[in-house]
Amino acid sequence: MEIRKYITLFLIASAFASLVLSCKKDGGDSAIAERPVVVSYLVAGEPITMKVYLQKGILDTAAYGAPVSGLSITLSNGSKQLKLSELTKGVYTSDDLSLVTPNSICSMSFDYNGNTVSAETKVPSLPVNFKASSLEQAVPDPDPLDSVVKTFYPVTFNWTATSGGYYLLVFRNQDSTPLRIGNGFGRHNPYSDMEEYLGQVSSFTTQPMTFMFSGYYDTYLYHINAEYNEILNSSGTSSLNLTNPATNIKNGLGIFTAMSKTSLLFHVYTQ
Amino acid sequence: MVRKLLTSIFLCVLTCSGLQAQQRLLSKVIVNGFYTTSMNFVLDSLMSKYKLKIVYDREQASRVGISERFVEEPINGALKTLCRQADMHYWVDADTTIYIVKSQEDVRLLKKKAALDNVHPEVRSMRVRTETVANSEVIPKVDKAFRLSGRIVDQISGESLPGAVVSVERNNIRATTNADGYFTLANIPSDTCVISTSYVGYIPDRLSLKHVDVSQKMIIGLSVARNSLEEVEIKGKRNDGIMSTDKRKVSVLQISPAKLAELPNLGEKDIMRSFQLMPGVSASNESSSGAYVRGGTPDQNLVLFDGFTVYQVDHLYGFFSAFNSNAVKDVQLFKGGFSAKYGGRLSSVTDITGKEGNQKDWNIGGDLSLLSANIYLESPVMKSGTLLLAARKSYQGPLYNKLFNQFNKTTTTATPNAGPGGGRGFGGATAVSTPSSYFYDLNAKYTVNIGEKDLLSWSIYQGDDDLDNSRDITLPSFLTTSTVSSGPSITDKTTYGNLGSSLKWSRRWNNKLYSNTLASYSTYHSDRNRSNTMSVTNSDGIATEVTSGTIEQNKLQDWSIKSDWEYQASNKLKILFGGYGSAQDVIYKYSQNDTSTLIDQNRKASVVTGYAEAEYSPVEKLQFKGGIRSTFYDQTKRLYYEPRFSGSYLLTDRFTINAATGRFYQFMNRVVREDILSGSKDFWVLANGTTIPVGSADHYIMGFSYETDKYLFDVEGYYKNLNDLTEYSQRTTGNRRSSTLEEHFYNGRGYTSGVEFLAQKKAGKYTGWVSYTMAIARNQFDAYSADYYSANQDARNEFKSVNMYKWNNWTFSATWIYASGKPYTAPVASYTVDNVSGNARTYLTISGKNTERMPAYHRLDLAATLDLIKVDSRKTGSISFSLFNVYNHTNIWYKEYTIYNNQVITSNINYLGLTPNITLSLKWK
Repeated sequence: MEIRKYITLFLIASAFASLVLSCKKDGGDSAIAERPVVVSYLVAGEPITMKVYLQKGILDTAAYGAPVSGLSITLSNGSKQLKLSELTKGVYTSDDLSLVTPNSICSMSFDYNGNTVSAETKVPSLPVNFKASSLEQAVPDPDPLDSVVKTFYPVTFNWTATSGGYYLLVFRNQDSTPLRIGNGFGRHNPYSDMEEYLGQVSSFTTQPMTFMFSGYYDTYLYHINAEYNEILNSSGTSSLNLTNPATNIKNGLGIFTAMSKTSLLFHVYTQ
Repeated sequence: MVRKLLTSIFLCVLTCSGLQAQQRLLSKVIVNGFYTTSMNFVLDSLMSKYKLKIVYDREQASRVGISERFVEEPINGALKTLCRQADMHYWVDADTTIYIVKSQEDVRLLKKKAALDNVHPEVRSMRVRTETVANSEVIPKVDKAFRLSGRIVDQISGESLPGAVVSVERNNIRATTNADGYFTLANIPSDTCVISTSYVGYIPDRLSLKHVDVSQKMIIGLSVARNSLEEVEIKGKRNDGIMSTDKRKVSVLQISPAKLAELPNLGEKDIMRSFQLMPGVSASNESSSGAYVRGGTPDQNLVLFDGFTVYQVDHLYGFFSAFNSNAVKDVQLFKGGFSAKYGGRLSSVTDITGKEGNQKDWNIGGDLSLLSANIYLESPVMKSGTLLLAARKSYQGPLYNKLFNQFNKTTTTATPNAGPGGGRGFGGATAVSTPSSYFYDLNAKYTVNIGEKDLLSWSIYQGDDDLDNSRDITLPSFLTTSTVSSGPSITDKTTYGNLGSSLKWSRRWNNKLYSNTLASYSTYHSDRNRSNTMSVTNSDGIATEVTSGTIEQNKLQDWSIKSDWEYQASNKLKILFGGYGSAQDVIYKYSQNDTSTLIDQNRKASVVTGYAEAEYSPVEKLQFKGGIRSTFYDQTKRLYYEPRFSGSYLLTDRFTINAATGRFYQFMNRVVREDILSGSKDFWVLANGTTIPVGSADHYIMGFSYETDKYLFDVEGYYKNLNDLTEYSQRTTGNRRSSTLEEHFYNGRGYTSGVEFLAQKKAGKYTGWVSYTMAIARNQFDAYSADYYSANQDARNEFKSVNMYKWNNWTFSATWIYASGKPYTAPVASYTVDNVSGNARTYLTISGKNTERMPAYHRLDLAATLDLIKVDSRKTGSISFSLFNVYNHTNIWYKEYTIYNNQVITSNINYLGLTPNITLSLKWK
């Protein structure tokens, strides 16, 4: 009899524990898929462009999501405020060059689906003392007819880095169809502008494989915010390490960051 | 390869069947005579003629007719012939009495019968050897209460059995043997008592104290339980099974390595895997032998081997545990609320005791499976020492290749634009793949008794994995130039492992005081080299090698000293106390292209710990343990106090209620890398109090158990909260040559909670259990979410059914595991962003961390094991056939997302399908 009592007690306790533990599925934030993607790089001294578009379904084969049209986007640097106008569907611009000035804090906001989408960024100071050890770079032909590769002499770019400043170099070929250097194994990728994320450094030295195409390059040194790198850095590709990419857009995704740049003209030719 | 293997198995069987040497029957009697009568007359005649002590079942023997002539036949040959004709076995006891039985279990029955019939009164105390102990504290045998102390050993090898239970019948006085098999029972009411001993996987024993001199130290020998042809009526609790739980201890599981071969296995008798069949230990992690105990992660489980910490507990991407079961005597898993004696981990403790080796006779044995070969040697050394050597090495047989390919499959489905470790394609060029990978481990233990009281033992363990996927790329001829003298060679090599050694000194100061002092060293290393080397010849004809890639190195060293003391003040009070000191040195380096070192950490830390615990039993039915552990950690310069309490109360003889609580700290963390292909997926870091805080946990456990002679029903509920957890992530930033590696430490908290149900049949032809665990494990890391989410290891429902049936010399087993799917993170959308220079990059958006669930995990494993029993009842080996995942269920390990043609393609990476295995285990004697 006593045992039966204990067993009953035990079953009641177990049932209670089961109830406490019964769980619901984790909901997560399903609204995230509805948030708009904002991409805007504010460069001191350049017109302002901001693209706003939707995310796409995972099986969508389109390169970009549908543009978001008809938004009223306000930009401000604390003292001045302006509204962007929609140039083409989902691309908002302003030719005003006075808003994005070094060291000012720029913010933007617009209403979308009942939420205010906003972001803020600080415009870095202009890079100073940007120079190169040579304005020309001879690149030895990697696939010479006589099979003897000539010596490569690197070029070093220097600038004065501000404390804690992050830098980025972009090489943009001026030719519409740049000429490829060499034509051997592995040289079949189409031309694209080269971006060298440098971090907190004050020099960059070229290497034999830096340039795949010859011609005149606009070489831009950008003084950027650390957020640029954080945001563009990839997240994982497996269910074990998937996280949402970083963003500085509230109620949205993408990037709203300011940068300042200076440039050099640089000539690359096959030796 | 298969043919070679089968030939060797065949040869082994042949060699072994030829082994007829009798080892235990040392009698030199020569038998002559001609018998055509029933067996009982033959045996009677042998007894009277040659003055032998033979015990047998008269009725059984009378049914067997013998027609045999012996000419100058040694007694063992004659017995063998007789037993073969009768389809029986003989068993020689320590005092040379010969038992003629159908199976080993019948020896006990015969002994009992003999005792009852008073035919052989001397049999009654047969299993007890007495040794004179020069100890004045021993209470002489009187009619009032007395003290009894002794040692429980394996009957055949003489090895001590730690954790065996000795109890006085019709009285709740009980004791558990310590690490060297010693026990002391005090206040035994009268000398007419019967004491019973039990140990998991062994035949329990009852012993009348009537003819035993209690002033002497008792040595009680137990035998491994084997097949029983007849149900033997035994009073008292039995446990013939592979797993046991002690109702007076909270959340403790013990398994018998001697019986592991009977469970289905994947290539190896696996200690850590067998725990996964128990309630509370997650079973759906095929890729980790580490124990996920009650929602904890494997790094929250302290693994001790002969007292030293083992940091790498698995082989071959986690499929096998790093411990050779032939070198293991006893394993205990403390699932929570553990004693103040243990510390340094948040969740659980696995305490493994290595085998000492046979004290009586040398032996050699081994296992051969489709995965590895395993050999061991045990031998007495001079008068008082024993030695055990064991080695195991995998070979690239079909099973190894299957497992290896499981990972290479992952590689081929990896994204075309995967980062380091992912991209292995070399379009256009031919990859000459020569993967050569293996693991091995070595165990050595030397134990020596110095006098009556002291025991010294030296144990070494080394285990290593060498995963080599290096290969040369042969460039097509039109691409070779005089400058590139050879194709690039890709080094993809991972080596990792653990080396540990301990020197232990145990001393039994007197019947009340016992100490165990240990100095140990343990080192873990993990080296990874993924680089491409290309030989380039310059215009002067000088060849230089250019290397690019990543080289990673992690090394942990741990020097420890500890001293554990036990003082048995009385049956009611036992005091445990001790100290522990440890110094750790962890190096972690990550370098790129030979030249730039991206991460270079070298952290040293030391801990000093003291603990005290009292086991108090104010009344027979109540047992209470309270203790405190305090640790000084030099990195944070703080003192950490860990109070621990546990207790049990016997409501009735069968019904026990128990509870435990305590606080636990962890000073080092294992970092699990996100890159699944990295071979060794993890490395260890020490807490620094800032980015890596000292983790803490509180356990609250309560349970009930109902135990009869053959059955056990057990329920335990637990709640565990975890604070200051650390997760780690590495991010490479930048591109090509100018990259940096960032380390991110995420800190968070979590809780786990659950109820475990167990119903076990412990004895008989059919043994096994069903268990059900309902559990929840949730974490909250600010880096992922402000809310709690399901932890990666969260498995809500787990059902396990373990069934073993014995038939003659066969054991059939079937295990079925069902577990709710693990949570995972899935993309809900994607978007593409152009960077400043206009290059596009696509990102995946997730709705939340671990919001999705994989389909349920389930599989059925089957095994059949044939024990090879010699005519003198000794087991010389076994052959086991095993099928893993019999109905070939597709269990998903994780999902991989690839962006192709702007779409997100999801591919499943699966666990193993149907995998057969054969294991042959043999020993010389």
